[in-house]
Formats: sequence, structure tokens, C-alpha cells
Amino acid sequence: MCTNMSPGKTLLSIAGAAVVAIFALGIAPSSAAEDGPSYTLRQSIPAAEKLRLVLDMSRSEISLRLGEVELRGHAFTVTSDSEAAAEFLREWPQDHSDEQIVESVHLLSAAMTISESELNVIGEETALDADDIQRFLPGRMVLITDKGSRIYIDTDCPGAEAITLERMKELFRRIWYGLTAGEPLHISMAADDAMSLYGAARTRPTVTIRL
Amino acid sequence: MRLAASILFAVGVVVLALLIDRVPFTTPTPSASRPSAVGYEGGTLQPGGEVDGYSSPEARRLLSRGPRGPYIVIDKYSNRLLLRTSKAVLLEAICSTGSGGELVDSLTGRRWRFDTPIGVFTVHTKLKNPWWRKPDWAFVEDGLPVPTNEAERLDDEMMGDYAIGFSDGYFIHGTIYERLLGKAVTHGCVRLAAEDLKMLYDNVQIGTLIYVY
Repeated sequence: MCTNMSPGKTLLSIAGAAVVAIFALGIAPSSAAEDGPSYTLRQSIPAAEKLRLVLDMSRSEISLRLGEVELRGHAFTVTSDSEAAAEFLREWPQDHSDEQIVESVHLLSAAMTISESELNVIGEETALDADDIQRFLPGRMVLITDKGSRIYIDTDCPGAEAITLERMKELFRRIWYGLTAGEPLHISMAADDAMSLYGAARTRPTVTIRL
Repeated sequence: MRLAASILFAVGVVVLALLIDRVPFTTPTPSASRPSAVGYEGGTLQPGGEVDGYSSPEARRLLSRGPRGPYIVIDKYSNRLLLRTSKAVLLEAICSTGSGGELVDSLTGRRWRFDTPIGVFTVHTKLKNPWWRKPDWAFVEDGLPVPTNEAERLDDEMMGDYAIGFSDGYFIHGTIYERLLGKAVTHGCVRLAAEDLKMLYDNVQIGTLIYVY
């Protein structure tokens, strides 16, 4: 949290005195201070203002929106064959304005993005250990909606550096067998875009498909 | 009657000062070194009430209003900052956001959480040549005693050339650690490279909407 001021102005000292007076009277508004409010890490977003993922099939873009405001747009390429993609779209439930909610997102493989030496430098400067520092880009992941639809996302992570997350793979296998939903959709996008999507998807946004 | 007049006078002076300088209520007066602006980065004391950046009355008002011009998007998951309109992205920059780490003062038991708040905010401050006023945690983190002399808290390099304030005083500012951009390593503020920061500073105004997720 930061506070700021622009000293050297003539009114400052008067304002300071006024602040003291206000605080003394117990009517000071809550404001930026070291012992101000705390924030919860990665807090969930209230349902009324949930993030929305809109897959625009004609523009080949996934946009992340808050209400009607577009926050980010990520270009993608459909890698399912056309028959499979058409099947996926046919099976996409059309009730409730075709909106589904991301129930879970699973990272299936990843690539390290920074070297061990860089990690060490960051660790020394921030007192964080390696696990606490963001260091992976998704290589492959899958979004699973509350209706059982699956959207696989492959990225352009360098294959040689990709790390397969066995634990996640095992989890994924169990999910796979537990699902009865039909054809998944396979898409690919840039790794940086997938990183953003991976994070946003974990807030359980709604998903809408636009044809 | 006299008390009421004093209160009115005090409130009036503070409102006037805020309009002119955007001076927050609790910032102490700096030393005689007279920096042009002072801020400090990150860290909120724990425990405390949750701040919901989306459902407060102010956030709801901003959400319903929507942007009328350029707006800022801060993506904490990929450490990217965008200045954009509804039609186009004007700037996409690599940034650094809060680490989410926690610091505990073993002597006093005070705890700080270093995270960037999510929600919808507005730019409420624009500062040139900001100074960093080191908060207590900066000394605790380095294992140093917290100084009683205010001048010992001031640092004229750490925040870069500009600072753009939002939320309860959080800032978008520069950094001397540009090699760490793209990583979630800050104490809550949002760091940008110097060139990107200047572009952003030149193209936002007080009131520009900021969406953080």
C-alpha cells in the first residue's frame, strides 16, 4: 500500500493541523495508512461481477470481460478437426443463454520461464522461495465447465523444455473417465496468453460461445 | 457552536488541500530535503477486514458507469498492464505485481501481506519524481530497526520518474529492478519499465478507470 504527498505547498501545514483536529474529534475517514485494511490473496470475485470468457469463433478470439468491459483478448486457433469442432458446438448446452461456468482448470504440462540463477536472485531480493515465485508457463491445460464441456488449450511453449505434470496428468485421467460429456474442443494460443487465461479461469468465470 | 465552526473549517481546509495536491490524510510531513512527492510501496497489516474491490458501492458505481475513454487493465496472472480503449490496445507492458508473500515482525508480531488488490479503481494521483517513504516493513524486512527520524525513511530512486496512484494509495510506478519485470515480486504496487511508465503517465488522467484481476 502506498501513500503520497506533495510537500512544499503552503496549505500543507494547515491541512496537517486540520487532520490532527479531525482525528482528535474521531471523525477521520478511513484512508491510506500502514495499518489500513488488509487484502485477501486471490480473493474470489462476487458472482454479480464475475469475469466472463467469451469465445468468439468467427474472430478466433477469447476475450475476458467484466460486465461489458473487455479486459483482454487472446487470439486462438482451433486445432480440432472441423467435424469435431462442429460436434462440440452442437453439444454446447443452449439453455441459460448458452452460458456455462468454468468448474475447474487443470494444467497438464508447463514450461519453466526463468532460470535457476534468476530464481536465486529474485529469492535473495524478495525473501521468497522458488515455489512462491511465478515461474511456469502453461504448456497444455484444460478448462472443464459445470456442464461437463471441455476446452483443451495447447500453447507454443518450447517442447523441449516442457515439463509434464504427472500429478496433474493422473488427476486429469480420473476426470476423463468420470466425464460423460461428448466431444471436447481443442484450441491453441500463445503461452503468455495462456498464462493469463490460466489465472483468470481459476476464478471460475462464465463461458459464452459466439459463433 | 465554536466546535462546529472548527470542524467545518478543518474539513474545508482538508478538502481544499486534497483538491490542490491530492494529499492523503495520514501522510506525515517529510524532512527538510523537500522531495517533490513521496510515496511508499506495498504491504497491508494483517489481520484486517477484507476489501472487496468489486462490490463496494464505489466499485459498483464505476462498474455500471464503464470506461468513457482509455482505461487500464492489470492482469496479475501474467503480470501485464494494458492501456486500452474498447476498440484497441494502446500499450501492453510487462509489469510486476504483488508477490502475495507475508512478512512477520518477530519482535512485535506485526504481519504484512504483499498483494495487489483486485477490483475496479480510478487514478486518483499523478506524481512526477516521487520519493519513496519507506514504511516500517521495509526495515523489518531488512532486519533493521525502524527509524524514528523521518528523513531516514526517504528514498529518491526506488519509485522511478512517475507514480500513478489508485485504490487506497497503491501506485503504478517505476523500478530499479527492471530485470524482475514479469514476475510477481512487489509489495503490492505495480512496477513498470521507465519507457512504459512515461507513456502511461502521459496518457491517463485523474479518474481514468483501472481494472485489476
